[in-house]
Amino acid sequence: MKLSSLCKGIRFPKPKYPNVPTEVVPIPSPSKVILPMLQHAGLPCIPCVEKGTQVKIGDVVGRPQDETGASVHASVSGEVTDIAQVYTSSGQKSPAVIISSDGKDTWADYIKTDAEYLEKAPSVLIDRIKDAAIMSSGSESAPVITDLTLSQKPRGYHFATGLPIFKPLDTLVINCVDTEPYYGSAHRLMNDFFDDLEAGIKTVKIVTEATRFIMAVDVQHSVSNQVRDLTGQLEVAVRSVDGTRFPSGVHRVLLKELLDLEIPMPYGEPRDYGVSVLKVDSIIDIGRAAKHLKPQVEKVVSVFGKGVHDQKLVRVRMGTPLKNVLDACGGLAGRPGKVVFGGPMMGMAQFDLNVPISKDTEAIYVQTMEEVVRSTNHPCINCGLCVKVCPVRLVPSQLSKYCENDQFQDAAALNLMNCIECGCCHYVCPAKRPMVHQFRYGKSQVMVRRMG
Amino acid sequence: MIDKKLDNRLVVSFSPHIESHNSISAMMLIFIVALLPSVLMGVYYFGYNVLMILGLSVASSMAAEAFVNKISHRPSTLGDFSAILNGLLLGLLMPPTMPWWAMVVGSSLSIIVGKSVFGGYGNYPLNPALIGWMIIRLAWPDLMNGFIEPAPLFSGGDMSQALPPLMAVKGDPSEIGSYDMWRLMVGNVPGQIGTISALSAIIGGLILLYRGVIRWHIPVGVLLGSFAFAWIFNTINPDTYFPGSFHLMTGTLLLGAFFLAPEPVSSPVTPGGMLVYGLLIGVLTVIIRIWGSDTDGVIQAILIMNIGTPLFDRIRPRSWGVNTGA
Repeated sequence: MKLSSLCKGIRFPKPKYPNVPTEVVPIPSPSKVILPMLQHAGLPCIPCVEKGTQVKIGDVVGRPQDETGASVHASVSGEVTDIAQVYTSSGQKSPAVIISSDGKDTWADYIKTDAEYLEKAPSVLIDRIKDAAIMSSGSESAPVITDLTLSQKPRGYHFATGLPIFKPLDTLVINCVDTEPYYGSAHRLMNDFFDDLEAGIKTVKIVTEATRFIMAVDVQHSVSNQVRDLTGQLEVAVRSVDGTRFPSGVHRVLLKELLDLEIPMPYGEPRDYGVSVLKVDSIIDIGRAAKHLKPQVEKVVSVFGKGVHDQKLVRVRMGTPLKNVLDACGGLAGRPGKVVFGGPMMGMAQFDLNVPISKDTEAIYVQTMEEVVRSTNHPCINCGLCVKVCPVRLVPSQLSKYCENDQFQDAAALNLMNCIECGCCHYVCPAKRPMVHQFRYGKSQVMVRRMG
Repeated sequence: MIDKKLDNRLVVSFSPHIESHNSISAMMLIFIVALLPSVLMGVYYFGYNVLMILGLSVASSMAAEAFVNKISHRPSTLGDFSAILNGLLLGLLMPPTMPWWAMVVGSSLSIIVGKSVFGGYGNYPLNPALIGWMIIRLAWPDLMNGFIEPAPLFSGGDMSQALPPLMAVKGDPSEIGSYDMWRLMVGNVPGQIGTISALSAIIGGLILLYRGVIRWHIPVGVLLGSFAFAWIFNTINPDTYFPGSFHLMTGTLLLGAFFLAPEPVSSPVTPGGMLVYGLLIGVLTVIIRIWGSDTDGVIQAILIMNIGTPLFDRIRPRSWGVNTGA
């Protein structure tokens, strides 16, 4: 038996609050949307509209400066009122195009349904996906098109010619497992937007050279017969994953469970191993882009937690201020504590309710003040629970002591950079040590030193 | 509607935003509850004065902890129950005739010398209860041998001097026939308060394992190491060396395997490290028992291996993508 296989994340208790209602509710179109130009890693987009420009839904308002970015589209029709600096959900400042809605929600002229999309050449479909500016959700936000086409990084170089060798894409995983156990949105999307899902999978099969398709579903949710028939017909293997065991929905951990692939951070990418993972909402967006030429202007967001009146699965426009989304869910309940973009384990707490919903927002978790937890600086008691739960098999207790004492090189030697910041170690720690915080600090310091 | 409520500002902090119900005090409470079967067996065989010894031990531990907190101007750490557990463990390792003054001195010194000088719970290198045991053992060796014949409650038996099984068989190997498994299981033998009954230690250990306070590696390592090592010599020469099962059932071995060796602070954390640590404790115990001057040897073995804990922790699990050769 491999000793190392004993570390397997944490099994979540049933949530204390009722589950998120399982139907997707569109919320009213906001009177104002804020579209940050920085919704991806790298350089921000350049706004290509001016104050006073009239735009329709789907019009491009910002163009990327390089390949790592994707354009930004207007998500309401109306007038550009301002181009200003705003805070994004990741806490960065970014220029943003602010559009006030005329309430008509007219779509741009180029948007039309193309019934023969399956007969189109792959390059046409690739262009459509590229133009739709679909970003993969989750922490590693990048345009999905990079997941479908060739890897940017060569696996090696040919010994005689010196030409780079790229690992071809052979497996494509469709991730229908919630990133965090309480979201409850992924399996809903799969059933509610079945037509778009079908179009998405068919498009992806045309566009990529991948030969193996796997759909990872959560074992606690049943897959509808419709989806089962579709996967059977399209030769997509359906594999069940235990979604209650966090972090099985995180891409890297999912690949470990499905394919026994261990992809080290931060320089390893699934693409280097010929694998790519797409979330189910990206597939749905791809379907819409290929069939209806629609850009990604909407997002299904799960709003949950004790701090919000009605827990809902809402369909929101990009750039809707957080405040509007919370209002549509009945507002905050009790004494507000934390409003988190993402889930309780890996989410990012917000300080301002004017922050817009962006392409990487999957969920909003609201806590009351009573629920807010506090960490301590108690010394590590060496209980070893963190070692037991670490999904990437680190020794968090030791790393935490190193980072606490500024011994970053020692921490890096114990593979600190491999940490996926899932938060399992902090969650189980009896001494409540702020381990994820220490690791982030340590990682940033290691990166600073590596760059000189 | 929301703006009005925002007079109370939002909290911003790093993830994760929730945490489990694990806490140090809960862990200590589980340890204490798991020790109760051993306490009950001690009271049953050695009478109510056992409660006096245990009570004194716990009270002096707590008093010493409070005293150190006071003079070092630290917030009180009595609330994490680690002092109670320390006192209880130390008391259970004492023979039933321990005089009160030795108990008070040993228990308070175990906290002060074994725990507080290093910075309190979480920082000490050696198990403080075992430090206290060692202090009493070195200062007053005779008191440590004050073993008496067990007399079950209400049976009216007298409490005459007697030798615990390991001492008896070390003097005369033929004595081994008088200890059958069931007698060792329930603990109807002379010995230290908490270590006579194998059954109660096993029940306690199962509670700890079930609640996830300890993991199986260390207990399995200790039991396997001692049993296998004893078995090798028993196979070579059954007349001189006792069978592994006898070693397992006697002395502090089971209490050590479930409560003393896996004590969180002084034991390793990695799966491989824990297993090696446990195996070495088991082997060292049997070595001390066979060739050493001491008859039990568990506590010495654990203290020695505690020193090696940082070394055992170097046996790390292989992290993702490291040294795969690919």
